[in-house]
Amino acid sequence: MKFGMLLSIVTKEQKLLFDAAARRGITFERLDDREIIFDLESDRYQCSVVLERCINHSRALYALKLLNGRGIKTVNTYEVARVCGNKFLTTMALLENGVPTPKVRIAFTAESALDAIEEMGYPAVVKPAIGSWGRLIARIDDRNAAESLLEHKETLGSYHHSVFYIQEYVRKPGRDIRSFVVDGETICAIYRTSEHWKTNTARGGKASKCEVTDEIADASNRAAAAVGGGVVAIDLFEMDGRIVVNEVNYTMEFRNSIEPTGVDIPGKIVDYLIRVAES
Amino acid sequence: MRVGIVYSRVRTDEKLLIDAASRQGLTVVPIDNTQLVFRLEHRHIDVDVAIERSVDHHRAVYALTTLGSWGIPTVNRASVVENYANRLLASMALEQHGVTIPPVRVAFTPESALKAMQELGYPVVMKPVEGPKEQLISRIQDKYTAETVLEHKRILGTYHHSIFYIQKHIEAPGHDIRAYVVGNETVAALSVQTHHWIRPVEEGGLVQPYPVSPELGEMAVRAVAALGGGVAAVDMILTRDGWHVVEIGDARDLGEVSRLCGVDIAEKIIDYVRDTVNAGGGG
Repeated sequence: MKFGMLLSIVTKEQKLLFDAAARRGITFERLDDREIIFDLESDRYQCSVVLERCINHSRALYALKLLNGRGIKTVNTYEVARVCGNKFLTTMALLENGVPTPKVRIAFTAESALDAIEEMGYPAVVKPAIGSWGRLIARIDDRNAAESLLEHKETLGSYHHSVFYIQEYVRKPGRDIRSFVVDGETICAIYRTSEHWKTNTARGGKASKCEVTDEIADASNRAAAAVGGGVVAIDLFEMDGRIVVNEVNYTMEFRNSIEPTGVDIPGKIVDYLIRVAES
Repeated sequence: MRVGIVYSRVRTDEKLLIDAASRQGLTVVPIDNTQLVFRLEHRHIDVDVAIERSVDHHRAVYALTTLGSWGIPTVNRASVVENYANRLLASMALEQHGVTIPPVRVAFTPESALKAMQELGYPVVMKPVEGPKEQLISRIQDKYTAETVLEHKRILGTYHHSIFYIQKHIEAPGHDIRAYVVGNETVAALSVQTHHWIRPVEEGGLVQPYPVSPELGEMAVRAVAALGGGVAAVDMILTRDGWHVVEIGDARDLGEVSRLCGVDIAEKIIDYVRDTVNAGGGG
């Protein structure tokens, strides 16, 4: 059996995955997304399964589409990457599957987006439909801020920034929850605590262990199933005493979550890869 | 039957569709996407079917996905529009369904793209994987041109321009064919004779009706079916090896094409929309 890893650069996560694989007697063949050339007619990249770890969403998406198109199994699948890489598609998938999630409005012009924000009420959150690490996610506290943000997006943004994704602001208790789901099971979770309303650990949020309650496991497993399963990280909010799903990530970082949870996340991922390859 | 028309601007094509729907006794519900706010948690648009006519394909996909999720059949379906709008998705679907297309390579960096071009052999055609169909298409004759184009894309382009879609250039002697498909039928075809290889019509090409032979008709329908069906225009070239499908895009200029070819395409589209609702599924 041949295991491939699609990657851009070797980050801490990739090293942890290589080590976990080595402990199981597996060597990854590296498919460097800066060097690969795909064609549509032949089978250039023969692997039993490919683990996708690209940094760039569009490279991940296209590579997964091309690999799946040639019948090569991938973790995650193209469909999962497509849905998770786009916050609008994620919201639709969650709603269609009855998973609790904050309210969302979609508008296509600055004018209709302003109407939608006013309808939602301040504060509201405006997010790029495609993007990660909390970049360009804006909390809007009043009409002036809304007008200023919308004008900047309309004037400076590329065409992707002309679909306005507007989410209800959730007053969370200084923290949110990130849970990790592998193959239908919530394996662990962390709290991300921050003074800032954005709690991403990439932005300085502090990680600590979060007990996986039944409610957290249920919301996480259902969210993972809604986007198509595989290996995903779920961002959860505690909202008025219940758990709601904010986003689902398909190529997650996990370096800061192993120590607080004591769970061997890369090991669990590699074990799942082996099961996929054998299936 | 209530038929929604989602639009950004009412152009001639939209007027023709509204007129054809009214003639057939349908109730037309205009949905202006510049004023629209979608509240995702519940269905708030009351139509039996929607025709998507946005200028911007992102708006189209987001609107169609929402309507489809609410159980409203649409023409075209969201997944179909995504296939039409993305050259890689389109090429993969065509290839998988045995429709002949020029050979394609995909690479993610200027260096690997350059290798891919050498592998295909010049001349090649580089196209943005997404975006307006006629923009930024480059015919590349040699390595120097390739390096220039790749550098400009890398430094000036947004992230979509870092997916390099490269097609082998295939010589077509003098004319291109554009076939109009509605459901299972190729309803019209045009030939464009030109000296300019990208913008035949705009550069003063001679546009004429072209007979829809069984072979041409079947190839165009198969191409559209491979992408999920619906209404589309298929650009094709005829070589010694038979028909090649080069592009698939929106069916536009319905009035002009209908006049030249002597068929009422708007009428055919409305027939198809009614059939879609009666069949109980998305277009």
